[in-house]
Amino acid sequence: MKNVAVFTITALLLVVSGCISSIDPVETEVLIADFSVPMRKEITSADHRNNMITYWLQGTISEPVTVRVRYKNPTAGNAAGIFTEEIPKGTYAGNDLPSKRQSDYYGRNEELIIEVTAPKSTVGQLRIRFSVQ
Amino acid sequence: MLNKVFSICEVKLFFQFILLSVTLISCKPELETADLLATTTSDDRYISMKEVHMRVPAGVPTEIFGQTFDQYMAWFDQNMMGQSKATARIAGQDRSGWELLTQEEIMQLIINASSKYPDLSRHPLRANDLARIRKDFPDIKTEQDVDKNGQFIFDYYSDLIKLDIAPELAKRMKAKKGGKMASSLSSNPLENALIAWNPTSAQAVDNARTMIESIIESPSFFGGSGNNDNHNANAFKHAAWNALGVWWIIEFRGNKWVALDKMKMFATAHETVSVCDGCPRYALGYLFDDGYTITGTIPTSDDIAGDRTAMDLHNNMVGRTFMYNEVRTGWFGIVTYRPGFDRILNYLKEYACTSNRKHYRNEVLNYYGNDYGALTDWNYSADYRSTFLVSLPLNNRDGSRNDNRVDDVPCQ
Repeated sequence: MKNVAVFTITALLLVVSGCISSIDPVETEVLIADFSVPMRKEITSADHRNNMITYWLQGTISEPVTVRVRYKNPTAGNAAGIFTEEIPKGTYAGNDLPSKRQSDYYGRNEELIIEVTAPKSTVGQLRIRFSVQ
Repeated sequence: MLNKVFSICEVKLFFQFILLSVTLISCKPELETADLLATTTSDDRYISMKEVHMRVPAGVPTEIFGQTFDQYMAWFDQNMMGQSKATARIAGQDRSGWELLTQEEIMQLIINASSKYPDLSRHPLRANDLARIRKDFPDIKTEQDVDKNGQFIFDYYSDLIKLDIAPELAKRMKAKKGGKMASSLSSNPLENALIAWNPTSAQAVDNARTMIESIIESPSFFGGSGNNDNHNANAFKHAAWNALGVWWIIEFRGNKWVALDKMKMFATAHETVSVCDGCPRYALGYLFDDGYTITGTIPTSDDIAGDRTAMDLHNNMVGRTFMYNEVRTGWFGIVTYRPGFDRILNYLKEYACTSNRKHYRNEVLNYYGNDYGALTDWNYSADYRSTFLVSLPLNNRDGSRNDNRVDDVPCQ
């Protein structure tokens, strides 16, 4: 009976995860106040056919910062990552352009690393919300 | 002992039955009308549209056929979302609903619903699909008749799929608005609404996207580097996506001109970052041939966002222009020739390897008379603008090196 119970629970979990979690985008949010050290965060994209990253900026930065999303386990061909985008200095409201940005489509179900770096000495605070679908 | 084994097996079977039931119940989208459509009933109506006699199945409102985008938005608001005052605009208050959905879930609904209708991408059609088409279009008898009326039949089934998925889309929008996703505006609302309005074209464009994603990650094309942005392999990816999208729409029996138009619509919509009324930035212009104006924004700044958008829009158009030049049509607009996958991919790869220019946003725009309307709205370009792809310079505008830019990848 133990095997049956394990089988059933596992199968039910698979059904639930298969039907629900694969649909919604994966989201994460970072708040950066200290730009002297790079911010790195791992995220796994949703199990979609074609993924796209959207992100929103909110806050003020005194110098440009760079947002980069790359593969956690890159091959020789894709070591440069999915995109690298320079964010000009200024204030961002967190909604539409220029606060909202999006990537091209890319492959599915990838383990990614998000990096935010400031090439110059930067003050301010930036909240970035990433949605990976 | 034997009894015990049997009893465990029986219990397993019982749980498997329960599991199967749960799976079917939990995963089956609520598509209410499709199953009924294959059977004609006395409540069916027959009407003529564009001189084609067609069946309107019982329960299907005539107004869903041939809706313009604003008509669809208004219909969806009133009939699915229960809004008494429809906005008829994606830019209105209904926008947040479309933003909450993912393209993946809309596409899954479309794929499920489309399996109940004839597969128009079959050449020749399956016998039961042709029989179904005859039932829905009494004057159509042969596959040649289907080809002659291909775009109309394409639109008819696309509109039925649109109707099928609408209740489930509305249900999910309402659930997400009230649930934990309410603060999560995750998608491009314009793309989502266009997909729901054009299910079959969306399927074709999605086929093309899936195909090019797979190709660009294979070592045989640019060493698998095409998913990185801003370089020649990515330029190839955009052009090939658009060319393949046109190919796939034609494969579903769409005509050449509609294929170019729909592919442009989806490709340009993907570059819009937001859609709104009274956006302070750039009005996207006439995205549709019915004169409906999308007031939206694309990045037009002299930075990476603006550079990338102009580059992508140009490279998209190169792919469509290639198909405009290649696809031949005969009587009734029937496509008599279109290039195969090998020709599309090899030709555009050659562009990326030998005819690739490095341009900033303003330099791309120069080719279009500094008119974003041309860049976003042209289905194809009939002159020299179509003969090269664009990737981004490695230097900043002041000449300094930009370490974040990726150099072109070797052709292999």
